[in-house]
Amino acid sequence: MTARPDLMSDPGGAPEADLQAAICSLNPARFAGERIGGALVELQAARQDVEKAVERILAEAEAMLDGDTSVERAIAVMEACAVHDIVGQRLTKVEALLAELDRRLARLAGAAALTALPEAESPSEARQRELWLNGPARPAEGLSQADADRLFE
Amino acid sequence: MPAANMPILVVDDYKTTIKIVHGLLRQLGFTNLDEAENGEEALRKLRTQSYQLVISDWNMEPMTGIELLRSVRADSALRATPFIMITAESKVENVVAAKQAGANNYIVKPFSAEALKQKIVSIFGDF
Repeated sequence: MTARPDLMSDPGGAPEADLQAAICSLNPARFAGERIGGALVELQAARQDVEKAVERILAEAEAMLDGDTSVERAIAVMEACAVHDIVGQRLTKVEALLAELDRRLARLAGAAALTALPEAESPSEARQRELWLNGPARPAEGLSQADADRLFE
Repeated sequence: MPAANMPILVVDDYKTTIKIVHGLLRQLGFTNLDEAENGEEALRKLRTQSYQLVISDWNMEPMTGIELLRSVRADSALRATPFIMITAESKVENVVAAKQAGANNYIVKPFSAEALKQKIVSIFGDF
């Protein structure tokens, strides 16, 4: 593990044993390799699962719009909706990892009495800020269509 | 009232979204639909073919929707082309920036078929 330049250690911090235990709890070989790598695989699989399901639902919807309203079409849509369960399980694994990593990093920062220093903005962060690339809003934070319409009046 | 065969360019880096928007436009009666996967490809198409409406996502690379909109409004041959932003970017600053850059309307994802129809009606009149 390399030291982060944006974190400065307070020499009057916690005892060395606590710091060592906090570092060991990060278990870099397991977290950085197996678990973070595993989480990335889960996220990629989730994306593929959703893409496949949406493709199927869209195909069924198009067939229905073309006049085929057979029960089989509706059943196929319901089958595709099972993606919610699968993706939910994949995301639960990733959530658990992030929560655990957050807890262990907080322990490390506490044990080493690390203080965050301001970081320089990277080129990609500057581009995101300049072009308002925020992505989807967090739940209950984004504007509704009615809000956007009012701003456009 | 818009003609059913007016050429419409839908710009999004997600094929699924293009399929959805195309599907909804077809249901509204439009038949002349094209697509581009980012602002750069869209601008190339706009400069070589004629379109009467652009419906564009915001968050794409290498050229975003807001950059595409600015390029369209800065080009004398394209600047009158109606432009609807359709995006998951839903902060006040995004809507204000789109309006200032000259967007004709703004649709927040996820969107309804009715919202898409309303925005087209607000530009071209009822159909």
